[in-house]
Amino acid sequence: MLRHLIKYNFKTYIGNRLNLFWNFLFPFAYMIIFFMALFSLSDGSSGLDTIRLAVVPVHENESAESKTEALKSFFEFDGHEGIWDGEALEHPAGTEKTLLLYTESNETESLKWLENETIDAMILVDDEISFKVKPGSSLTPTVLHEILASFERVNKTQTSITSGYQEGRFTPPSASDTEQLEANRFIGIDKSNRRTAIYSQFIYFFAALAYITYFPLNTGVEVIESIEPAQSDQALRKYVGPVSKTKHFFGALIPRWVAHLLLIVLLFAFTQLLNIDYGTDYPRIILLLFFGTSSAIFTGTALGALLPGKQGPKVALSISIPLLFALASGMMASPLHSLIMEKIPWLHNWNPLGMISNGLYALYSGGNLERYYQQLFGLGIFNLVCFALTMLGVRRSRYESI
Amino acid sequence: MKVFKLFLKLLYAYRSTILPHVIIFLGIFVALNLGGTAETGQVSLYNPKIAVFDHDDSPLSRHLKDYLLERNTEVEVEEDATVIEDAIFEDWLNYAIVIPEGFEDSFGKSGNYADLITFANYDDGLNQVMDTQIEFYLSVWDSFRIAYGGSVPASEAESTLKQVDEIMRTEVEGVELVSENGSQSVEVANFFSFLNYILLAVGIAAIGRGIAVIDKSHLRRRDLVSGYPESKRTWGLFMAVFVVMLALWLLLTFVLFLLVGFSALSEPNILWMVVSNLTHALAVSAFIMLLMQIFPSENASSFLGTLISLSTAFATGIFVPREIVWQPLQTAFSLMATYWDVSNQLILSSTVSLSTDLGGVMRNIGIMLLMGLLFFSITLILRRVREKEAA
Repeated sequence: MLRHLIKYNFKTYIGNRLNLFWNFLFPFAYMIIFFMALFSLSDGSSGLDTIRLAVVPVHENESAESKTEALKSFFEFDGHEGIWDGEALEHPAGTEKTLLLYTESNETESLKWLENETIDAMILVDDEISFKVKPGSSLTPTVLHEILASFERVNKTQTSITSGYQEGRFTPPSASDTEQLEANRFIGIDKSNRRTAIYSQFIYFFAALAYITYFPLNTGVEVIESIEPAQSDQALRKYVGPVSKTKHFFGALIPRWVAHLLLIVLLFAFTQLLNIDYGTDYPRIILLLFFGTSSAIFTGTALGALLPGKQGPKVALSISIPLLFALASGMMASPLHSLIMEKIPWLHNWNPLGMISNGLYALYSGGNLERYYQQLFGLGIFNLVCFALTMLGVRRSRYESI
Repeated sequence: MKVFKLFLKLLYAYRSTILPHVIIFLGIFVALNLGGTAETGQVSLYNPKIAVFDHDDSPLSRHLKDYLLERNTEVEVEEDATVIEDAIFEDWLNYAIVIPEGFEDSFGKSGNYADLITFANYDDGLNQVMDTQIEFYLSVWDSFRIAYGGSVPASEAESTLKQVDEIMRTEVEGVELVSENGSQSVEVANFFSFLNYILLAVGIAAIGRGIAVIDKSHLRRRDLVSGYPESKRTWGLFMAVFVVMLALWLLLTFVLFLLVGFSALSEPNILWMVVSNLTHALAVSAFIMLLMQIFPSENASSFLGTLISLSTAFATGIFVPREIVWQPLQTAFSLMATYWDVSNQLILSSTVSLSTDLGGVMRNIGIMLLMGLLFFSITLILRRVREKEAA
């Protein structure tokens, strides 16, 4: 009988047009849109945009001119004087990218450019340098502040050292010493063997796959709806039949569960077709996704079994819960994820969607698999608890009046 | 009024769909604004979150550490490569530097690079800021070391480092252009952008579902048989949709001003944000009615509500910064009124000269109004066609 129920439920589930749209088409459609929106991030580098500047000598005198020239020379470390191409300040070599692109102008014109967003900042060269930017939260003011402060610091350093020589505190090195000093002159931090963490914007991709993995929560709710006489007419009809509720439960659960396990493999394969990089440890990724999808279904069955009443509130919960968990895990508004990780990390780490996302990250970052297995273990415990709650809820209901 | 009342009753029954979305939305907004905002007029500089592990404990390493911690925010993190990389990925740490034992002794004696281990994100700009801070500090120290002929005498080390600290404290002043942009603009713009997502999600899932139920053929026939004319029915339904969307919008906008203060309404750019967002709410109401004419089913409302709202939120720059969204997708989603309202919120939150930007804002409002009218007209035409077919 169980085999018959499984076969029957599988056919009706697959053949149900609503399921086809909601549970099968939605995740694919969502991944396409998501990927199209964010595929520019998938190469893992955002870089710094070119900062377009107007250098404005405040006074027309020799000192201001020489400081302006010195500043322009200083910009040459990663900058170039731009040329006007219509309304835009461009690099003379066309597509070549530098951190700074500058032009010299007067204050009125520069202010107009700044207001029209033709340039990102204007630098006022006086005894002390200052700059103006448009309001906003971009990184431009921070980078510019650091560059300009560095220019002033270089000047101050040169002044201090010159006065040190004049005071006799320092003595010029001999020719042989100079060679050795130059060989060991500090030129920067060695970045060739720098440890770079995974690009934090990748959280969007981990959370998005976790979201569609944890999406079929409603399927679990439906399983209970189909067997609880208080929740649907279909279940009421089943209840008067000779087959036990437990058999009906497994008869409804197994085909849906299997369908979604197959679906998540297809969805993962689809992400690979879209070239979304989740690493190459496919067996472990798929195992994690299996646990994740199972957790969605068992969350649904637990909700269905424990919450009394009709479907409305449960459907709302089955839409809202994955969205809330996805939010905590960084699928939308990554600053919020950072805030959650700082203030209430358990909201991300202890929810199943967060565990899937953490597991994907652990595999992607490579190295020790301990963290991956921790997430798998966490999901396993979560599934067991939800399953136990489901059985508790299902077995608790008695309908002796029927 | 009959259909109007019936619709409101239906929505009351769907309160369990509306409430979770609204609560999540308010939660997002409150959480996002916990951090506070910079005062208007000052340049808001990023304050990287860093960790410094000093194993050398030499004068140079101590001064370097103090300098870095003075300028950035220190984060407590275990000195373990995996933990540090996780923290950087999770964005609660931006940069970590390990100063190994013997750092000062080897500085300037073993090549052009300092013996430091650094951890950073990919090329995200913040690491360049941190690199610059470290490299400049050490460059200034190196200049003095060279001036001293290769090594700073021990007796001069402390005074030289103090001189380096003083040089490194040199700052430049940066100001933001300020004119008609208030300090709460960014907060209000973020709220209205998120509100657009909620109106779409709740609107299609709950209000759209109500439309689908009211337009079911047996309900429609019952009304017509009882002598209630179709035109009255249609207008009652439309009015109910607009009233409910407006009520929802008013309620959430009221909550916004409770949070940010009603004084914000005295700022002209915020008033324009309100006007733009209200226009969006009207255009979205018309869009929902059209959508439910094309897909008149309760199930479609849940499916489309989730899909359209999430897609629109990603494609128009509500959930992610617009500059990272693929341009052709943005162009495609400019067919949604949400795109134009989010554009307005972005313009108005960073406007320097409202009079200059107002032309663009009004054009976007006009586009939303035209879209609303177009959606509404097509809805009327579709209903008329269906009426004729039924007759």
